[in-house]
Amino acid sequence: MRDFIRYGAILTVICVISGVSLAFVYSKTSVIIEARQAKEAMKAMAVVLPSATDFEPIPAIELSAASGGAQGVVEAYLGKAAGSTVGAIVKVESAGYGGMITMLVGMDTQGVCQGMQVISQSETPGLGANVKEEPFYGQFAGKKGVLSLVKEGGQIDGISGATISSKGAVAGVNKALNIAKALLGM
Amino acid sequence: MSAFKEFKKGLWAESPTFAMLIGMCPAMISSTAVSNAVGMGLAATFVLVFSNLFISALRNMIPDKIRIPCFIVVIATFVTIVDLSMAAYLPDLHRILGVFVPLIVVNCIILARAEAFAYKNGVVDSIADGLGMGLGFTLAVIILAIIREPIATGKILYAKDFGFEGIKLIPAKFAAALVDKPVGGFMTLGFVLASINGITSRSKKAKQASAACAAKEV
Amino acid sequence: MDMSEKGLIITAAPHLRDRVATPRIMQVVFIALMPAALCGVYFFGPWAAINLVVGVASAVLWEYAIQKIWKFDITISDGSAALTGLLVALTLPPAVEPWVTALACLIAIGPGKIVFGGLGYNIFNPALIGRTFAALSWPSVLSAGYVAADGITAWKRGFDVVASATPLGLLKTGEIGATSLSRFYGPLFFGNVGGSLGETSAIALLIGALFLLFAGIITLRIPLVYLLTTAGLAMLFNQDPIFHLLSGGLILGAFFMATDYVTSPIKPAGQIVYAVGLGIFTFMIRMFGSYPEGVAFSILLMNCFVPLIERFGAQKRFGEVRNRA
Repeated sequence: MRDFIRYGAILTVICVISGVSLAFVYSKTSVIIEARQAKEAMKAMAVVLPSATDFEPIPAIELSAASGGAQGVVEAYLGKAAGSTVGAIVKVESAGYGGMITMLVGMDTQGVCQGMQVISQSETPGLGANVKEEPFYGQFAGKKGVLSLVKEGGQIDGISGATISSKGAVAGVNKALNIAKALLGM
Repeated sequence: MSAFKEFKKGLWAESPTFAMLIGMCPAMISSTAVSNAVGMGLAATFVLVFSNLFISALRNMIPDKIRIPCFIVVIATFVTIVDLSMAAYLPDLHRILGVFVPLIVVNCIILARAEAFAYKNGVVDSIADGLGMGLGFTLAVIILAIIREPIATGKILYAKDFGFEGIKLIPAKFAAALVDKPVGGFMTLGFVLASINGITSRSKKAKQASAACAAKEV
Repeated sequence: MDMSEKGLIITAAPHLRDRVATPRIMQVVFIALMPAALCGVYFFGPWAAINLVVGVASAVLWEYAIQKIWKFDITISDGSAALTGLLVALTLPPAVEPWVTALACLIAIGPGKIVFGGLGYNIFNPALIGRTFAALSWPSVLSAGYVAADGITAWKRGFDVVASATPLGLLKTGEIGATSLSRFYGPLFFGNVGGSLGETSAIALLIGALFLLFAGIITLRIPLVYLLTTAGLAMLFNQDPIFHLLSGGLILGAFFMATDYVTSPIKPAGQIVYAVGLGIFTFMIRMFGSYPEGVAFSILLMNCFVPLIERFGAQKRFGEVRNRA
């Protein structure tokens, strides 16, 4: 019994010292980490909607109303510049070949896609994973309307050998553009 | 003097990766690129030195029966410190090493040195041992990375954090993506181990032969 | 007269390897693969011929070079390297850039065979090690190597190629349905369909397989059980069994690679377990995996299990007392 208390006390002392030192390190680093994460999120958003300088998150209720029950809608932002709305950014998930492709899509008030970035994906390396490469995602900027792959008579060059990944990405962009239109009241 | 001996053994003769073959999981993930290898190696070395230091210093206070939980708490503390600092100051490296930084907690090199060395030896020797083992691990993963990185990506010394684009060695088209995966890591490790064994056994044979010659002459 | 002078070597059981006959077996298998190779060359055009030559020549060259550098006995005359090279070329896409074939042969001969101690000691099928390494290392180069099987037209085009998807690839991407694929039976049977160099023509492969059976090189057990398992699973999952049997590398793998002496079980019961495992893995990878074809992976996977399979039902050695561990 005495041993039991002694062991407990020793472990407690070690844990308390560890906890205090961790709290100190955390307080020093968390500010930097948060600032960096926010900056990174901003950077991705600035890429898909270059004209905006400020991004205002859209409340979940409003977003689900705009998406009309569509699946895989993560979050959305209104892009602002000098106080007026210049476009919208929607983060969506779309089924690819190896899993979900998460992407950020930006659209201006004219309904023109301003850019697309793949945030995360689990496609085949060397094939479908190329959706996150510039030759593929770069095609979306400046496109308007409902998009589809060239081999279906559309505007987007699919990745050869990775039709499902390409289709998934295009479907995601279409979904995001639709929601962005609803959000901007178009 | 003994501290120097404890430091030296970990670098090569008792190298955790090449001689003891422990800590394979972090070795495989961090040896995909030289910059990752340096980052992971130094992070593990940091944790190893401090966990050895504290465990050695506290070894008379830690009862035998609860030593493992105590080791883990000490190790986990330093790993969390490394993880947080890395996320704050080296975010790209942190993103690549990802889950493997927290997993340094269960890197068996660290627990093995705590259990096998620091718990039984003095503070100075333990620090030397931790430093030697950590740098031995770093050296080993750097060697693996020097082989793997160019084969897997076509270039070497790519380090985004420092704005270094890397040196192109072979066209990206020929880069064998499989070498980037653990499979390729284990294959590389196998070839490195075979080469080390081949060289050491050859030099041992040569030594024996010259010793035999000398014996005959006498 | 001394026994060894007549080439008789007396050793204790089990007698697994037969050095004397190795070159003959390799020759027979090599010849048996010729119909499939010629079919591939006919359907896919000049690149297929180049890849076949590169495969065989580079495999022999790599084996010679590695054994020369490491001062091993040079074994290229037993023909196994040439056969490995041929199999690598046959399992790769017909118009893949030849450097892929050459490097795949290096992996097949080096890490696939010589590091284990040479022929007879390798755990995995060397050709499939090479092929799989290439498939996982250069996926985009490989997928660009699948070309249309146009026969004479392909030869007229020369070195220009027309990319084409494989039937299993189409199935995986959902571009064709899972049932009533009878329009593919003919092309798959004769070989005028996209696919790896040597896998598309079922009839050519079956001629070669018959030749091997009559020459007594292989038995029907492993291939038959393998094919039946795959077809049975296809029916169970409401797929077209004939399509699954004819497409991909199933026939090539079942008759020419799953029957490899070194990497398959010896005992009949073990062979059946091995073949059933092959069928299950192949079909599961085709159905649920992220790759359209699973023959190469399943043979490599089951190669791992061979030592374990062999342990089951091992005969009691004379005088041995079983451990009750």
